[in-house]
Amino acid sequence: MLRVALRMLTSDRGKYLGLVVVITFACLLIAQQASIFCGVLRMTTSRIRDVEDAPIWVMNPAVEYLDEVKPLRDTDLYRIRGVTGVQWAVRHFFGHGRAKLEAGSHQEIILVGIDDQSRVAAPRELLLGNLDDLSRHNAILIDDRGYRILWPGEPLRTGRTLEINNRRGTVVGICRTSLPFESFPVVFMRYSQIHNYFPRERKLMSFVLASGAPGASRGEICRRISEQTGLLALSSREFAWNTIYYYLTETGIPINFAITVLLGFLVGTAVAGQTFYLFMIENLKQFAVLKAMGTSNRQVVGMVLIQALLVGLIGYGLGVGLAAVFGQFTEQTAKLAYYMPWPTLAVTGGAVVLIVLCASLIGVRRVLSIDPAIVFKS
Amino acid sequence: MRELSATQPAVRCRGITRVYHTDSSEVWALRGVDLDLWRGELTLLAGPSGCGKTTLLSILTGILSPTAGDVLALGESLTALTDNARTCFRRRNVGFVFQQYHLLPSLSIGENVALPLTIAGISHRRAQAAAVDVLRQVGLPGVADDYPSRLSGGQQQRVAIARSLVHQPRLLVCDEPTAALDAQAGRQIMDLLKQIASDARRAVLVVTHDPRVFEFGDRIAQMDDGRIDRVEVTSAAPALT
Repeated sequence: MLRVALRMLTSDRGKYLGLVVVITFACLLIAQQASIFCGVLRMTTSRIRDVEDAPIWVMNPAVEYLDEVKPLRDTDLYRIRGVTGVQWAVRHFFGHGRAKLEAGSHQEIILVGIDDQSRVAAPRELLLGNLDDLSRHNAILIDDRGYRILWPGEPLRTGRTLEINNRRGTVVGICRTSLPFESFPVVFMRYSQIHNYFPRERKLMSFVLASGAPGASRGEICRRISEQTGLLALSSREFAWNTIYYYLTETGIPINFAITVLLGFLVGTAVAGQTFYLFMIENLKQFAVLKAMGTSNRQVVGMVLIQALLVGLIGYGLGVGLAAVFGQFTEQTAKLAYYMPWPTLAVTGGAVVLIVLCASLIGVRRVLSIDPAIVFKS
Repeated sequence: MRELSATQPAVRCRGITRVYHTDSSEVWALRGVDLDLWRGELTLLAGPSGCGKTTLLSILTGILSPTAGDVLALGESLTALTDNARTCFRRRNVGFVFQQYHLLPSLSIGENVALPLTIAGISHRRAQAAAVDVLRQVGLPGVADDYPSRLSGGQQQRVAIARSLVHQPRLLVCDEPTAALDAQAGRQIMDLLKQIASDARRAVLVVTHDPRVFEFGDRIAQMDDGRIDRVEVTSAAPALT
C-alpha cells in the first residue's frame, strides 16, 4: 500500500509540489529563526568562548551574566591564588569605554584588559602585528570588525592612534574575535594599562581567570574557591550557560524569536493542512474505492500518514538545507549571528512532524468518514 | 470460510430493510427484501433509478448494515460481523466492477488490477504476475505497464473486471457495468461477465436498468420502491434452481 499511497500523492504534481513548498517554507522560517536565535544567544558568550586558556572564571557573587561587571578587590586575586588546587590565577578586565573618532564623533567600545605577563585571554588570531608588541607604551589591539567600524573603507594597518576615554592608544595589532553581542569594536590592552584609561576607578578587576592543577577536578576547585573566598567561581561552560540563561529569562529576545517561529509553524500548518485536505477531497473517490475493496481504516490511516510524512521529509530536507545555505551566505556577507546546532534541527523536525500530523489529521478524518458506497454512484 | 453445499445459495438475504433518517423524516430504501444469489449464475438486479438497487448491493457486500433482516453470505452472517470483519470479508471474497470503472489514474494498469492483492498484503512481484495473467484472461495482454487513460471505455471496464477477479473472489458484484459503454462494448462486457459466471465456484450479481442486457442473466430480480417484485429464472439457469 506504500507504493499506492506514494503514487497517489506524486501523481497530482501541483498539490504535491505545493505541499512540499509550503513545508519547505515553514521549515526554512523555523530553522532560520531558531538558528539566528541560537546565534544571538551564542554571541552573548563570545568573550567567554574566546578565552580558551582559562577554564575557571571567578567573579562577584552578584554577577549573573558576562556584561554585568561588579569589580573585585585586588586582594581577591591573592586569596584565590591561595586556594589549594589552584595552579594559577590572573586579573582580567572587561568593560566599556568611549573612543573618539577622527571626525570628532564618539564610538562605544569593549575594553579587555589581559594579564601583563601570562597574556591569558589574549586574542588567538592576529591578522596584523605581534602579541609581544602589546608591551609597548599605550599599545592596543583591535579586532578587524571594530577597525572597520572606526575607520570604514580603509585598509587594515597598525600604527594608527585611537583616543579612548581621553587617552591615546596606538594600534599595534589587529586581531579576530568572535562576534560580540554588542556590536562594538573590541580593544585589548595590558591589564596594567587599564588604570590609565579609568583613572578615577578604584576597583577595576572584573574577573579573575584561573586554572586548577593538572588532574584536579574543575568542579572541586570552583567549589573550594567559592567556599574559601566567598566569590563565585564557575567553569567557562557554567558561566556561559548562566549568561545564556540570563538573556533567556530577563530579556525579550526569546519571545520575539518564538513569535516568528510560531508564525512559521501556524502558517505552515494552516496552508499545508488546507492543501492536504484539498488533496484528500480530490482523491476521496479513490479512497472510497480502496475501502470498498477491503482496505481497512488502519491501512487508510497508514497511507495518509505515509503521504504526509513523505512531503514532510522532503520539505524538511529542503527547508533546513536552505536555512543552512542562508546561514552560510549571511555569515560571510552580513556577519549575521547564525548558529545551527543539532537542537535547532530537532526542533524544526519536531515542528514538521506536528505540521504534517495536523495536516493529515484533517484529511484522515475526512477519508475515514467517507462511505465506500459512494463508489456505486455514477 | 465455510464450504457451501450445492443446494445452498452463495448469498441469502431475508427481510432486508434499510431506513435512512434525515432531520425531519425517514426514507425507506429497502422494505423487507428477500434474495438468493447462486454460484455459477449471473443474477441481474434490475429496476428504475432510486428503487434501492445500490443500497441492496452495498448491504450484500457488507459495505452497509441493514436496519433489519439478515444477510448470509458465503456461510457468514454479515449482520453479525463487526465493521473490521466485514472489511476483511470484502477483501477476501468480493470483487467489484463499478459503472465508472474507478481505476486509479496514478497507477499502471497492472498495478490497478493487482490492487486487491496489494490490499491483502501480497508482494508486489506476485501481485503483478497475477495481474498480467488475469489481464490476458480478459483479452488485454501486454497492457500491464500502460496507464488507464490510454484505454477506451470498454477496455477500461475489462481492466476493472480483471481487477475484480485477480484475488479469485467467490462473489462478484457489478454496478451498471455497461452504462458508460456503447452497445457493442456493452455486449462484449456482458459476454465476459457471463463467461466468468459460468465458474461454478462464483456467484455474479449485476445491477442494471438496461433491458438490453437481460438476455445474459440466469435470473432477473426486478426491484421497485425498495422491494423485489419478482425473480424470473431464464431458460439458461442451472438445474439446481
